[in-house]
Amino acid sequence: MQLTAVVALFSDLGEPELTAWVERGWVRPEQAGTGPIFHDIDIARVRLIHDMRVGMRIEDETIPMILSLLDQVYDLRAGLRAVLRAVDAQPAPVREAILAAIN
Amino acid sequence: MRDPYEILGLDRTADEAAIKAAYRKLAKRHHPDLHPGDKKAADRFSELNNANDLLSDPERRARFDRGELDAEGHELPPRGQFYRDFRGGPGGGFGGGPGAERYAGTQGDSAGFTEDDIAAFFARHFNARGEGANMHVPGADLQYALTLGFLEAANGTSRRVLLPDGRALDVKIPAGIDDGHTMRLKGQGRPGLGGGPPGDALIEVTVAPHPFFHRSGDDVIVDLPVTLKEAVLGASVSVPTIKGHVKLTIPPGSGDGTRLRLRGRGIREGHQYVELKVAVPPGQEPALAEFLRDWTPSHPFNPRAGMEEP
Repeated sequence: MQLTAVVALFSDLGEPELTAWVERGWVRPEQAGTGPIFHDIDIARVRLIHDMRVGMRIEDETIPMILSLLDQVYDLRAGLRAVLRAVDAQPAPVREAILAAIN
Repeated sequence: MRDPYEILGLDRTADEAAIKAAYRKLAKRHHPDLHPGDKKAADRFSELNNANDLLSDPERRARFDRGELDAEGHELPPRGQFYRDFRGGPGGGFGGGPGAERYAGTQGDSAGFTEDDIAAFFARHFNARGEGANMHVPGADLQYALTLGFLEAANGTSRRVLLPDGRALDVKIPAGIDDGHTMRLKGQGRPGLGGGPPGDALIEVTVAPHPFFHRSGDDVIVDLPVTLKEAVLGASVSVPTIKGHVKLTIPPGSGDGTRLRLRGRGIREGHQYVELKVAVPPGQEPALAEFLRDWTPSHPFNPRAGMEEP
């Protein structure tokens, strides 16, 4: 989706505003030769930033901090899922030993 | 849909500012993207948005208050996916959907998680849990949001709050409670496990702003408009305080910005300060204009002295 189409999804979001978010790295659409292409994940992120600024009235200077912390949480969760999958692939006694140690 | 006032933790008399403040606070707490593992967060957030949508439209709110409008069946259209849904949120895949790598902390490697991290995670996790195998687990704390009007917070009040687990608690709010203060009710949280103590109920208080009272510590500040005549000749006028109206004597010759103190009329031991705002009569006042044209002040002064050198 092009930038103009993303802006049209919101009643109160302007092109310069969204362009500024991309420039600050808050949203990182795919960079194609014809300009940025926004995928579903990018649009969901635009919606999140919009919620923070309009719905929660969070200051612009706080937003990169929240986004960075959020992304770290998501990365950690992805990592933890990787660990769980690895545990899952172990023989039963190993799995049980790990579970016993955690509980 | 539950009662929108209950969802926002508001009284039925709450004004627009209180609704906004309550919504903002709860949106920060319940936004699904801030709760990647909680499936119910999306329902809570949509409930919150519907409540806010209904109460912030004065016409629909009035119809709801009169019982003409049901909270049911007027919800906002369902919202698309949240950001978390692309980053492996509830039910999501391992690394998230397409494009997730553009937002992962370390680009390129497996979602920014290294082998060292995993080893450190296990080492820490096992030690911490290993020692406490027979530990008594204390109950979890329960969170609750409560929005108070300015006057309720200033004078203190008592409120019945419905805790998330369905219990009702009568909470005494002390006079002068601050916006953002969290009250801790010992032992009113979830029960503990294995003989552990129950958790606490944490009640986070939001104080809605007041149209003319402002607060500075325990002092209350009010801007009081007075007429030109009252300011020049002096007068006795009625002034609102947080405990009701009182008479205030305006000394003759008071100017705009004059600050008068009402001793002990603030919060707890605080005072109320009244700042005068002199209002020039609206419309044409030929007699006043006539008088001013011929008038020579006995104490001429330049109110802009000191502004001559920028």
